[in-house]
Amino acid sequence: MECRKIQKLILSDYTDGELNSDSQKQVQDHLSGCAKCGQFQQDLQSTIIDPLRKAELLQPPESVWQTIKSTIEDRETQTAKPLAESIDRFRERLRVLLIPRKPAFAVAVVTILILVVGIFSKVSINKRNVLNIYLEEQITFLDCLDAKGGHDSSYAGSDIEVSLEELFL
Amino acid sequence: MKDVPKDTIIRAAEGDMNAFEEIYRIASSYVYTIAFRVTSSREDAQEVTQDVFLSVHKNLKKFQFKSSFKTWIYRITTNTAINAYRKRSKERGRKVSFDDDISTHDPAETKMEQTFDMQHNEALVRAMLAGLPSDQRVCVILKDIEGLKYKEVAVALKIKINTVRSRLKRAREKLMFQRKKKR
Repeated sequence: MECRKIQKLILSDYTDGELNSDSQKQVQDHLSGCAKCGQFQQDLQSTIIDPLRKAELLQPPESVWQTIKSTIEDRETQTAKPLAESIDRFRERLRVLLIPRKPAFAVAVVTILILVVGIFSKVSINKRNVLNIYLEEQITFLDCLDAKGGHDSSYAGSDIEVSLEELFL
Repeated sequence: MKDVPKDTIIRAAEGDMNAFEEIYRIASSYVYTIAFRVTSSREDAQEVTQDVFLSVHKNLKKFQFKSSFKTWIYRITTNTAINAYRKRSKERGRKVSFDDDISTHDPAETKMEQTFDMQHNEALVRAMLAGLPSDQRVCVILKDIEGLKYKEVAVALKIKINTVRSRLKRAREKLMFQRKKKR
């Protein structure tokens, strides 16, 4: 293998132990026989690689952990606060709805119920009145006809009355 | 970074703060180291670390164990750190260099027991990383400082393995050239 290729490998895979055993042996064989490449490999190792690999592992000050811990705790408190408030508000609404606290509330409910029943009742009465008005008109019309044709007016009335009864059944 | 037990991840996702602290204790130094090496600023690195773990906490429930948890954290870290670096660069109107870090260095954080060699090495590492563009810098950090394999770097950065290889090669060529110039 020529020196240029060997030096490329020295700058990367050979120095970093990334070569397979065959390639590793080829480079080592070349280095043992080539002074220039041997010197190149020694210079790289002693001036660049060794100082970097001896570089200290640095420790952060303890204040870094304290800051991280308090930030996380603050973050968790902020998340919990709105949720707790929502639960309290919901609980309060439920209490108002399910537990009658004041007589005024009970009076209000009863009044509303009466109004509702009354409204429904009124609707029925109005409908009845409309029907009665219509039927009275029909009776008057039939009475007129009866008066002209000699029919028993009571019969006609009783038919209508039966119809009314059927209507309200 | 050692693996985080699956049970710990599940408990943390369910809101167990003690479990989340376990995750923090395992991963924080790796996250902070990447953040510092990318941004060259302790202040920014602390902010990035906070943002990373807040993001992890927020999204834990969505993690479905389809990929490695370690790789997931690395991905969040590199994205957050690069964004912070770019934001700082825009604010300052120029690329952040090693010299800028001098003003943010907190002498109180320097360990008294650090040897001269360690201090010298640290200065050398910072100078090397400061001379690289951010895409190459991140690859060098993940490979040489964090010890990830090519495939892990590729997954963390969402790039192809060949892209990892070529960025590392170009970064190392550049660093060797700079070292030769200084001699």
